[in-house]
Amino acid sequence: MASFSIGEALGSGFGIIKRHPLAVLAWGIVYFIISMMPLLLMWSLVGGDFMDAVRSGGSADPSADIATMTAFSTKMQMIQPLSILASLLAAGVLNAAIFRAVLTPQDKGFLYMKLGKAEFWQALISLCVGILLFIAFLAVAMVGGILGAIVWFVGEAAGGAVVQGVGITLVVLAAIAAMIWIALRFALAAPATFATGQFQLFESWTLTKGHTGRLFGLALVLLAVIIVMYVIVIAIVAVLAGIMGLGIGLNEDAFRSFFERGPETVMMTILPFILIMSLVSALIAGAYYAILLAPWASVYRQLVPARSPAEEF
Amino acid sequence: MAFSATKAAFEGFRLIKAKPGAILGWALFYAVALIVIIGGGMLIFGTSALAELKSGQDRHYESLEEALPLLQAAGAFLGFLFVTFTIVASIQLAAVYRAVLRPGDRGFAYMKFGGDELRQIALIIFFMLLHGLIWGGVFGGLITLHALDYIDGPGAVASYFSGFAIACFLSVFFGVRLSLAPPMTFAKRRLHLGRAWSLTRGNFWALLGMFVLALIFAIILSLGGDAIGQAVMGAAGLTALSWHEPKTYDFADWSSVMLAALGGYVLIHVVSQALQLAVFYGPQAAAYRDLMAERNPPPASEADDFGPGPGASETAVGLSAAAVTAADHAPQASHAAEPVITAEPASGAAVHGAAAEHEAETHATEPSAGPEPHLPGETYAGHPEAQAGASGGEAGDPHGEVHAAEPASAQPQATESHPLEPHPAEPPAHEAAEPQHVSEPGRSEHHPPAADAPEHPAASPDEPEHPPADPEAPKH
Repeated sequence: MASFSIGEALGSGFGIIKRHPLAVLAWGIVYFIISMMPLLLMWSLVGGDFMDAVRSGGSADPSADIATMTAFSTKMQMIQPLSILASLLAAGVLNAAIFRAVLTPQDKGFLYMKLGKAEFWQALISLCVGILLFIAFLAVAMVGGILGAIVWFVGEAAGGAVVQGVGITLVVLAAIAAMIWIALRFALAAPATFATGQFQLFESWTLTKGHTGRLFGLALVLLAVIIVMYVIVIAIVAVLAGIMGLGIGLNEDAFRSFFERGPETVMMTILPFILIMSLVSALIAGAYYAILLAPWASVYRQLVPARSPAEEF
Repeated sequence: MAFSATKAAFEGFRLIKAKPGAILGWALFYAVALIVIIGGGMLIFGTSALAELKSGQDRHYESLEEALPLLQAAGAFLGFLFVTFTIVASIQLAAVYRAVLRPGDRGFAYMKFGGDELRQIALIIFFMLLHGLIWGGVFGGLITLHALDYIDGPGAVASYFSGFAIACFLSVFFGVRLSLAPPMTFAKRRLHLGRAWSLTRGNFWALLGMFVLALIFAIILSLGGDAIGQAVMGAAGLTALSWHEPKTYDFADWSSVMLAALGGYVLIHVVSQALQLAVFYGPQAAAYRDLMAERNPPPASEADDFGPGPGASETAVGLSAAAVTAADHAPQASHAAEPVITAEPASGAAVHGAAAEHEAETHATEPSAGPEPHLPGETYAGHPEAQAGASGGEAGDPHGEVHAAEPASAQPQATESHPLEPHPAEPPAHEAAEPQHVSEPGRSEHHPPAADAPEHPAASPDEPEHPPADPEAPKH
């Protein structure tokens, strides 16, 4: 049976960053912009109402407040589906770009980004895998619940909180392991869907058969890489926060007087910080997702070698 | 393997694409049904009962007799709801099965009311009883144990939770194992539970996956419909708000715009319901069709029996690969092949069979084969399923008909192998796949749409003798 190399898979994400740094940067920015669009729309629709509410801090006329709040919540409700659509679109574009860079590097598009069938399938498969894993989670929780109940009673009969504790811990660990196992079995659904141009969900189950151990290894390594990345980002955030803190003043009085300046001033002071953070996250989002997603495409390609053009025609 | 869970799960979307008119018809039917049910319910529940409820908000009934009229009205109301919704559901289910399994039998958007629908009603009641038995049995048992103090405290909580989980699993298990009973009953025009059970053997997980995927699609459609509906209502509400300065909450001021919005909401709701119907039940019919296509029709000598058991079919696969080919390319023909009691001896059929076999083979390699099997020169290779398989999977339909991960597609396999095989068994299948040879009266059971009813050769007056071509069939 064909197998795959964890190192090669892991390296694929870094390889993309090295070969196409501009593309990776662009992915993050596009992802950020698409995700932000509903927020911007929301602000343009309800920003005025929101600022009114903040400024007035509760006016004398309660019915006017109710009217404002109703309009506010209705608009929010209308925007919610849009934001779901936007996040799906963002995920579709980003996934497809990353998989395109790994699986069909000759198909350049605009920095590997396009808007077509592949993006639609990526959005759909991400959504389906997400819901499927949620359903699986419910099923695992149910089985775990039954086992837990059995262990509880057996432990009680065997006479000990220790037995019960150990038993329940084991059941919980087994449930977590089962969830990880199921998630890994569906891990190749998205790259397989991209590579074949067809919806491939249960096909991932067949593809990953016999490879769960190595896939788990890959997931662990990726987790370690992500943790390191987080630590670095958090350090940057801490430095930025420190700078801002110095600006406000670190003693209690300065802090209190800062918040006494009124919500509008506070917001305007915090806003640049939020914008800077958003920009930083937009800049690193492309790299983050490339490191996280490209390896699965690499695994897919290692397990299912590309057909040569001669075979395709 | 001809049956692929992913492929079958997309049947609903194929249906929507190929027959948008039918979807609109289902939405219209559902809208009318809702009006009838709500109107009828109002009449039955009665203005008196409503008035009683209204006036009696603080009222305490001293005795059962005093409350009896209200209880009776409520009972009649619930009974009415049950009966009407069951009838509506049976018509809708049969319509989806008809659209997938007998596309030539149009009706009004594939809707009718007859034997097929009555059998679906029987099955709906059966499934309600089955699930009622499972849940009632589990929780009845637990409540009894609780009442008798066999379980209490945290143990009782754990038992109820476990009972819930066990009931869920039992419901899912029996639900999936019997899931092909409704389409099989529809296709064979006879109640089938045992056969449906054996048809799902070995395919439990694939079918479960298919249903989960179909459910996910239905949920997405439902949420999407709700979101659009709410956006319409929200937009109307905001419009109404903007009309009034200062903003008021007098609903009377809004009624016209809100009524229009409500109309829009209902419209979106019924269309969404019709789409969900296709997306969830289309795969069920497709799974039945594809799994039946996997099974081999029995030899002609056994033709009076209703199809093979699973074991029999496995043996027969080896005996007659050509018949498998016919079954693969003509899923309905395989149903037809099983029960045929022909007026003409098999020898005559064999001649047609040979011709049909040739045609089936030719068309299987022709992605552009015509849309309907009922026209001369066309076989079920023109059917969306066979066609997609024949088109090689790379081009055309985006719905994932051919799967790289699937080790062997049965269609090319069977197509390649059959010329080498002797096929004593396949003539009925081929004949059914080649309906243009049928010209004698009294042989209408050879028509694919009518061929499912061998026990009622003439019992399908609704079936056209020569089914018209279906212009709605998908062209890939």
